[in-house]
Amino acid sequence: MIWTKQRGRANLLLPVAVTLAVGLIAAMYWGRGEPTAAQRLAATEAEKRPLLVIAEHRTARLQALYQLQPQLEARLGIRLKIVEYPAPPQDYFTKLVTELRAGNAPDVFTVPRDLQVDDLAAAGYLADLTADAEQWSGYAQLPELVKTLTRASFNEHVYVIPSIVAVEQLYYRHDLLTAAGISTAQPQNWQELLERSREIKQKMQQYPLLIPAGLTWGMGSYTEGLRYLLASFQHYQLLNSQNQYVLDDNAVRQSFGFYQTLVAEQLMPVQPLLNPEPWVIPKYEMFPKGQLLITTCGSWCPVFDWGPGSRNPIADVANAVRTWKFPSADGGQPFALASVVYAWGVNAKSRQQPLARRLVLALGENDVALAYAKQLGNVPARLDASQHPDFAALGNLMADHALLKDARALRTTVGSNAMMAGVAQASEAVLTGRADGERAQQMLYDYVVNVLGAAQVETPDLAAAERNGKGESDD
Amino acid sequence: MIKLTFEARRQLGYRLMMAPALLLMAAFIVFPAFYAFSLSLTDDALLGFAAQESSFVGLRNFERLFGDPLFWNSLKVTLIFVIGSAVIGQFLLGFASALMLQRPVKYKGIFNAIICLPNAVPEMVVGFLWISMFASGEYGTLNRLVAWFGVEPQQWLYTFPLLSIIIVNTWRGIAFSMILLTSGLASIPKDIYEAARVDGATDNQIFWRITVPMMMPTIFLYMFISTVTTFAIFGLVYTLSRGGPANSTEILGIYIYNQSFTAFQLGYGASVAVVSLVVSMLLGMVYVKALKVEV
Amino acid sequence: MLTIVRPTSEGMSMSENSASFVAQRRAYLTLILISLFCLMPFFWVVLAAFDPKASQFLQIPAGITVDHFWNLLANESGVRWVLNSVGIVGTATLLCLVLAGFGGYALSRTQAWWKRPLLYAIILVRIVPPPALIVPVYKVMLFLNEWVNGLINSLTSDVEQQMMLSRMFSFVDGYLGLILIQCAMQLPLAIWIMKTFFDAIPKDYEEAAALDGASQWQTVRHVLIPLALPGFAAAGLFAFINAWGDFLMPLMFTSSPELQTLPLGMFRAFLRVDAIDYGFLTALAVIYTLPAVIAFAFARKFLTQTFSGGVKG
Repeated sequence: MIWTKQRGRANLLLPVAVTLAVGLIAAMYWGRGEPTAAQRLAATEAEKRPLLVIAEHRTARLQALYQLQPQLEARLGIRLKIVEYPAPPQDYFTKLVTELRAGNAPDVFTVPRDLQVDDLAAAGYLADLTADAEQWSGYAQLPELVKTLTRASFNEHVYVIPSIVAVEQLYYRHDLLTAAGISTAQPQNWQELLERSREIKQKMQQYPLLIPAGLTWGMGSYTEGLRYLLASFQHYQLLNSQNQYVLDDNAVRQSFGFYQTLVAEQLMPVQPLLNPEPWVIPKYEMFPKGQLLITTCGSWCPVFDWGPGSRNPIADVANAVRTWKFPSADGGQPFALASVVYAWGVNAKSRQQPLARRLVLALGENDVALAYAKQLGNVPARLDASQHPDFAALGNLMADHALLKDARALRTTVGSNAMMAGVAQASEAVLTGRADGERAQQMLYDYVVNVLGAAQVETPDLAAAERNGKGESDD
Repeated sequence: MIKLTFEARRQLGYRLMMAPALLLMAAFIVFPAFYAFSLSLTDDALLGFAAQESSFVGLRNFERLFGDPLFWNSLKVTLIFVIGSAVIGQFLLGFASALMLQRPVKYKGIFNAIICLPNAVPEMVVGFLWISMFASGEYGTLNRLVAWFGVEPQQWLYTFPLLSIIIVNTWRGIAFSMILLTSGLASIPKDIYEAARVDGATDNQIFWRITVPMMMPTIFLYMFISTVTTFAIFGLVYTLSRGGPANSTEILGIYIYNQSFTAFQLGYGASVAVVSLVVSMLLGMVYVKALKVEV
Repeated sequence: MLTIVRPTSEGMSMSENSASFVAQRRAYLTLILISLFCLMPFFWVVLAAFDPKASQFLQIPAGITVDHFWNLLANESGVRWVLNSVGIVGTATLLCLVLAGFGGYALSRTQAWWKRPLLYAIILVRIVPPPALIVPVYKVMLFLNEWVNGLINSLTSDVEQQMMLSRMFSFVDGYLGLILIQCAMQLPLAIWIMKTFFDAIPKDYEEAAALDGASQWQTVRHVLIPLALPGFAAAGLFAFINAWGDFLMPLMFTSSPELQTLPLGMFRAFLRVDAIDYGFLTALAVIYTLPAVIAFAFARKFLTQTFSGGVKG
C-alpha cells in the first residue's frame, strides 16, 4: 500500500467535501428545473400560442430570421423558438441529421443544398409537402428547374419549400482583360474558353482560369467544379430514368479531360488546390490581385469575397468583375447554374405538423426570401419576387434573378455524398497528373459502385455505348 | 444445514450486488462491442433508404475498407501518432523527468506539480490552449518563440499537422509516464546502486547496466498502457484538427467518427470500429499473457 | 497550492559527494526546460481570462479585470454549461461510486466461478477504445430513446410537458442517457479500484463485527465504509476526472443548447468563427480546468496504484 491510513484520512476530507458540494449543487440545479418549468407553463397560459422550434445557423441568416420573427409570429399566431445551430456546414448537417434520426430535431429547419433533399427524404426525415405545395399560391411562381429540385427524384414528391437560389457563373476581371486588350465577349463553347485562357496566359503571364477540383475542396469539387462541365452537355443527365447515377458516359470523360487540359497547359493554378482550405489562395488572394483572371463563383462572391469589407477588396468591384455564362460543350447555349440553397423542410416527426407546414409556406413568401437573399447575396426563388416592392433593394442581384428562368442544374439522388467524394478523389488524381479524363472517369465510377453498390449506378450497356458513340471521341 | 443456506444467501447477495454495475457495462460497453461486428455486416446509414431499413451486405464493407486508401492512411497516421507521442515523446521526457527528480534537487514538489498540470487539463481545453499556441501569423505564441531562432512564421497545424498533434499529446502525457516510471525507479533496491558504486561504476554504466534492465517491467507496463490510451484518443485531435487538413491527422477514432457521422455510413464506420476493437483486444491479450496479470 | 505528496521514498541515498556539480546543473536545466514546455500554453489562458482585450494571441494584458468572470455569471449559457457539467458528471460519479462499491465488494469477497472470468473481462473492457463504440452505442441509445419517448408520449399529451420530460429522461439529448453512459464508461476502472481496496481489508474485521452482534448494515456502515474510504476517494476522483474531461460522449449525445455541457458549449462557441469572445471562453476554460486540476492533485498519489494494481511485477 502506498498510502498510510492516517495520511489517507486527512487527505480524504477534501475530496469528500468536493463530492458533497458537487452533489449539493447538482441537487440545487435539479430543484431549479421545477419553478422554471412552472413559469413556462404560466407564460403559455398567458399567451396561449403554440410553440414552434426552428433551427437556423450562420450569423447572417440568424440576423435575417430575428428580424422576421415578430411578423412571422403575428402572421401565423405562433411563438417561434429560434435555436442557433453550428455555422460550419458539416457541423450543421451532422447535428441536424443525428437529431432527425433521434426524433428530437426542430419542427422546421433548412436543408443547405438541394442535393441533400433526396438523402433526407429517403431516410424518412422530411415531411411530404406535396399537398401543401399544390395548394400554395407561391408554388406556381417557381421556375420549373427550382420545382424539380424541391422534389425527391425517387418519387417526385415535394419535400422542401424553396426560398432562395444560388446563381453560379464564371466571374472574370473585366478591368484587367480590357486593359490587356483581350476580348471580354461571352465565350460560346469550351473551345472559345480555352482559347481565351491561352491568350490570357500568353499576354498577361498569369493563371487564366479556376474550376475547383481536388480532395481538400471536398464537395465543392463537384458543386463548384465538375458540375459546370457536366452541365455543358445538353444530352447529359447525372441520373437516368431508373434513378441511377450515370457515370460511364463521354460527358464525364470529357469533363475530366477538360481539367486535364487546364492542368497540362498550366491554365489553372494547381498547387493551391492541393493545400488545405484550397479556396483561400486562388479566390481571396490571386483573383483580387489579378493573378487569376476567371473563376467559377456565385452571386454572393462580388459582395462577400471581393466586396468592400472582404479580406482583399477589389476596387469598384461592380465594374471590375463581370460575369460570363458557362460555355456549352456541344453547341448549346451558354448557361448559368442554379442551386436551391437553404430550402425549408418540416421534420416528419414534428409534434406540430399542421403549423410547421404553414410556417414553411410563410417562409417561402417573397418578403422573407428577399430579406434572406439580401443578407446572403443570393436571389429569391420565385419569379414574382421581381414585382415585390423590396426587389430593388437587391441591387446587382436583380440581374442574377433574371437568369433563373434559363438556368441549368443537375439532379442528384440518394448517395450524393458518395458521388461527390468520388468526384473529389478522381479530380485530385487529374490535378496531380495521375489520371487522364478516361482514367478519372473510371475512378469515379469504381468509387461510387464500391460505396453505393452496383444497383445505384448505371451499368455501361449497349445503349449507353451507342449514346456515347454519337459524341465526339478523343482517345 | 443452516450454514448452507447462509452461504447460498451470501452468494446470491454477491450476485445481486454485482448485477447493476454489470448491467450498465453490458448495455453500454460489452453489448455494443459485439454489436459492432454485426453492424459492420450491414449497409446501415443515417441518410438514404438504409436509414429506414438496413440490409445485410456480407463482407462488402470490409472489401471496401481494405481497398480504401483513406483507411490505410488512417492506420498509418495512428501508428505514427502512437509511436511519436506515447512511445517516444512522453516516454523520453517522462523518463528524463523521473530520473532528474531522483536527484537531490530543490523544489521537487513544484517541478512535479508543473509537469502534472497538463495531464489534469480536459481534452477540450487542451485543444483550445494549443490552437492559441499554434496560431498562425507573427503573433502566434510558437511563431514568436521560433522567431528568436530566425524562423519565419508558420501555419503549424497546416504545415506540420501530424507533428503538431504529436507534440500536444506528448505535452499532455509526460506526467503519466513520469509518475509510473518514478514508481519503477523507487522499486529498484538501493543497495544495488551502492554496490555498483563501490565497484567503481560510472553514472553511465549504472544507468545502462542497472537502471534500464531493472526498469524493463515498468517500461513494458508503461508502453502497454500508453499505447492503449493513445490508441483511444479522440477529443484531443478532434478539437485541434478534426483529422484535417486533408486527412493528415485522421487517427482511427476520428476516421470512425467521420465515416459514421459526417459521411453517415454507420455500417462502414462499424467495420472500421471492428478493426480498432480487434487490434486493441489483441494488445490486451498480449498484456494479460505477458505480464501474467494476477486477479 | 498543489502540494503533492510523493509516494516514493527519497531515492537519492547515493552518496552526496559523488553528485557532481555538473550533473546537478544538468538536472535543473532539464527540469526547467520540461517545466517551461509544460507551462507554456497556460500563460495565454490565464492572462487572457483577466485581460479586458483578450484575443487569440498571448499578449501583455491591457489591464486586469474580472469582468469576464462576472459576464460569465450574467451570461445564461455560461452558467448553464457549468451547472449541466456539474450536474451530469456529479451524478454520474456518485452513481458510479455506489455501483462500484457494491460490485467491487462482491468481486473481492466472492469465490464463485465467475470471479476470474469477470476480472479478466474487466481488464479487456478497460482496453476497449471508446471511439470504436460510438456507432453501436449510438444505435443502443436510439433504441432506448425511442422506448422512453414512447413512454413519455403515453403519459402526457401536453407538448411542452413532453418536451420537458424528454429533456430529462431521453437517452439521446437528455440528462438520463448522458449520466448513464458516463457512469458506464467509468465503471470498469472504479470497480477495479474498489476491488483492490476491499481485498486489502481482512475479512476477519467483518466477521469480528458480526460476532460482536453487529447487524449487516452496521458492519457495512461502521467497518467496511470507513476502511474503504480511500478506495472510494480514488475511484470517485478518477471517475470524476475522466467524465469531466470527456468530449466524445457529449459530442455524440447532446445537441440542444439547454443540455450543453462545458466541453461542447465551449467547442461550439469556438466554431462561431466570426464572433469568438476570447475573454468569455478563456474565463470559462479556467473554470472548467480548475476542478479537474484540484481533483487530479488529490488523485495523483493513487495513480500508480490503479495502473499497476493487478500486475505482478
